[in-house]
Amino acid sequence: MREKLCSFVPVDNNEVQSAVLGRDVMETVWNDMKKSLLPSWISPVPHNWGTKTRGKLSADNWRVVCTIHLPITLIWLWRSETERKKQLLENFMELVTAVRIANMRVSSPSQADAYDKHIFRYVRALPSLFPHHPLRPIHHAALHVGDGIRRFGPIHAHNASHYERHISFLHQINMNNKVGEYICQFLSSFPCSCNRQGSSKRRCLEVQSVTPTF
Amino acid sequence: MTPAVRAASVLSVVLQNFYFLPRRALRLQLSGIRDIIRHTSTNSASLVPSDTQSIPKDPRTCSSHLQLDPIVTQFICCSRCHCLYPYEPDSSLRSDRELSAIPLLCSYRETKADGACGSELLKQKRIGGNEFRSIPIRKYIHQDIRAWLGRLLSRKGIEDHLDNRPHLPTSAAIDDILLSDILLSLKDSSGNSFLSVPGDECRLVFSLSVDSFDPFGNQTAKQSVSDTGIWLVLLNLPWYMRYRPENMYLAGIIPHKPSTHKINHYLQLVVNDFLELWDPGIFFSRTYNFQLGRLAKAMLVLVICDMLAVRQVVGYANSPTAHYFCLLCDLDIHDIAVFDRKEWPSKSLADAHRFATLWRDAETQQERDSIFAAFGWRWSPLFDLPYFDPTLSTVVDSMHALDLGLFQNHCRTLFGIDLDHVGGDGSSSLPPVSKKVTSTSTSIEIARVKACNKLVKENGVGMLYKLLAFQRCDLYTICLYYDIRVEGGRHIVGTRWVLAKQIYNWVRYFLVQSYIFLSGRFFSQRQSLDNAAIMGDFPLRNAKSIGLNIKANDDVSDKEDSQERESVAEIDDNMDVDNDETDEETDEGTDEEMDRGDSGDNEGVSEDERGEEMINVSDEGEETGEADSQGDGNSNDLAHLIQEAKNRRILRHLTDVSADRAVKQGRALAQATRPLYFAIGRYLQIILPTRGKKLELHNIIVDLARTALSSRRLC
Repeated sequence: MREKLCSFVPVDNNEVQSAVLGRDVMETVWNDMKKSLLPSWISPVPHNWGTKTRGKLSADNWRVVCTIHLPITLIWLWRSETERKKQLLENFMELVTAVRIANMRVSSPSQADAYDKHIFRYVRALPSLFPHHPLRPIHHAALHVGDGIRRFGPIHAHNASHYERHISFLHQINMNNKVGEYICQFLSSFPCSCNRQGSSKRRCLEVQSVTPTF
Repeated sequence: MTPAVRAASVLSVVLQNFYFLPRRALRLQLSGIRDIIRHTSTNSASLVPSDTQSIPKDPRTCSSHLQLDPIVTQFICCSRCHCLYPYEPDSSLRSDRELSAIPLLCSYRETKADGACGSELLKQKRIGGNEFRSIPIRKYIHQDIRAWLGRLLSRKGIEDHLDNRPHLPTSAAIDDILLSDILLSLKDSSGNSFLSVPGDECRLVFSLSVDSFDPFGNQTAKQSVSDTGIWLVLLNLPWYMRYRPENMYLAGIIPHKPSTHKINHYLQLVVNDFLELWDPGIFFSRTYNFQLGRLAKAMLVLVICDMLAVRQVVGYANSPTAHYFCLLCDLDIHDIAVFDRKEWPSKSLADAHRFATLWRDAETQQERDSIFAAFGWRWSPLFDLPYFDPTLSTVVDSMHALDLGLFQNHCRTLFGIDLDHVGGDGSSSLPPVSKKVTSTSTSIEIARVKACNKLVKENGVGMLYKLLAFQRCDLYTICLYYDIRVEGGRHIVGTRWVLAKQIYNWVRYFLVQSYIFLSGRFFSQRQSLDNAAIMGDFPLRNAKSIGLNIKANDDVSDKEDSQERESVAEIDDNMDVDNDETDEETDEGTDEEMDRGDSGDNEGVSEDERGEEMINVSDEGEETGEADSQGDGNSNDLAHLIQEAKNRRILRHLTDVSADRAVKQGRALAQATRPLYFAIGRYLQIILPTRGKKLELHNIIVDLARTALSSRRLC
């Protein structure tokens, strides 16, 4: 009886979406990561990213994964695909190209135009490639990043990483687990340490090592 | 301070601030040093026994000796509404009496109609025995920008970097924000270029960042407590110095996370500083390079926050998934699939400023809510800065939008990570999501659209604001039905305000052109009586064909018009434009009618059956108080002003577009006052920019008349 009933239920209902980054793909990516040598100024990604044990990745991690490791693996893995996977790869590479253009150290109007071109192509293809995922406000916001580059120049001067870094700096300050009063302590010890650094770290001011923001 | 004492102090400060040693450990370290000195001083001549006395016992004394503590202002902060009250702990801690200057209960009122907040500001704390002392429940510490800037300018080498003016790049590529178009085109209060000013003045540009974080670190995934930091970055410094902690200005850390506009209290402090820095600037009596002092001026040019915080800071709708989802263009969330950049309606600063002001000055909370729902803007202190434009000065932060946004979304949602199965191609058996299309509307929805349609047809006073009371989907339906869209646009896009404005403009253009040329409002010699035929049922007959760019006028009306015009010509020949302004009352004594104000108008309208009520002039039906801000609040004033215009024959000069335009414009400008222009604008139901100059207002009115004229001629 039960079997009869079961036969009426569609079989593949459990698996509503087949994930692209399945077990085999991820293992290939991790293997390739082990083999690849990165320049020292690129912070390495956790070797088991994407697993539950690893947890969240930082913004920098995601950028390294998507601009370096995934292209390396996916291009090789899907080299002979012709159908949907080829479209997926092309679409993904539009995004990678756009972000790499956006993150360039210098900016020019033509660069902003190039960014716009790629990001528009990427976002435009999303509804047809992934019809079951709605467009999100973040997609529209990304279309405006080009405006920011046109107005304010290269992106390193107007993105949020500086205050995120500071938050982690603030976390190091000891505040005795007091919610009400540590605030005062924050402020009094924060600029204090700044002033201190200002007077003692003068030698650092002349260091002009160019760290590419990728 | 002897060298030994100094060394001990520096050591303790370094340990505290670089290695984050707790105070307990530092006390131990200091007493250790004291002991060492005491024992060695007997054998050494260079060490004085008194050193042991002057070495501080507490690390806090060390940093105050070295003058490292920041100069701050303290505030008592209401734990409910975040209102701030100045607080000086040194004096108030000594006696309760001195605290009496601070109200015990928060007296802040959100709007005039609201009651005071009423939450407690102080609490009693036992200090040994039965003695109690009042201490603030919550404090906020604001770092003084003058002190911070003063210290910065006193450091060696900083001024060299600051004064290193940006050189114009030889190629189109630029490598820093200082060379960007926006920064190079900044103007100071006297209209000169802000950054490249000759002389010794110090010109600084800042960016503002606000973000919430968990003060206890990222120990737990769920954020239970959060604080909000306000950072300002000095953009004049080269990029490799800009983000060092010693070079960033941390204005303060807000205890807990103020919701929506409650952050304004804190931002106001920053803005007040920047208002002073904008004009007249702050004079520093002595800096490292300038022994005789120099003047510093600063601007706040950029807001860099994540998607949530930036909305809160500039006073926009709070959620990025709300109807008002984009800060940089006026698209509605339902238009998210419109990729054509040309179709995105742009935001205007004047509008934003006006709506925010309306919100701020609203009398009740309900009024505020309705204004916010209609426009999506709240007040933000940044609007106080005369140069600040929220639509230009905000950027989409690339770190959150691209790295954490698109990349993460692509990998985790679109691609999907699934370690239990073999990788597929990302296709899905789920039905595709698309814009929700409801084939059957509920009766309520239909009723709403009908009501909206009726409103458009009626074209009563204050139609624009009445339209805003409808939901966006209703307005969208109306736009779709009458095919109202921006010239050249393929889609009907925009927020509620944009759509309402389009409908309003569409009606107004038609109205004005038919009114000018059919009833002859502006041409005294050709004044005709009205043609109710067109005015009465215009949406039904003309709507489809007209659109925003008025395409056609039906011939019937033309003929009617000319006939009527001839017939009335003799009567009106000697009447000049002055009488025309009060068309409703031309039948009766005009002046008395005007003086009787609104009630009189309505009577006059009901008496004549020519359908003229559409342009019922001296209304007081504008709810949103736009006219109030322009200084002609009630109909008596309006009537008075129109009367004045009549006497001076200004309207005639103003609106006669036929010939001698320059001469007449000059004459009109010389005679008219700004309130008069607003009165005329209101009279014609034209929205004029609140801050517009006289010439600007004049041109808007004349242009409108000319557009109507030219389209008329084309037909």
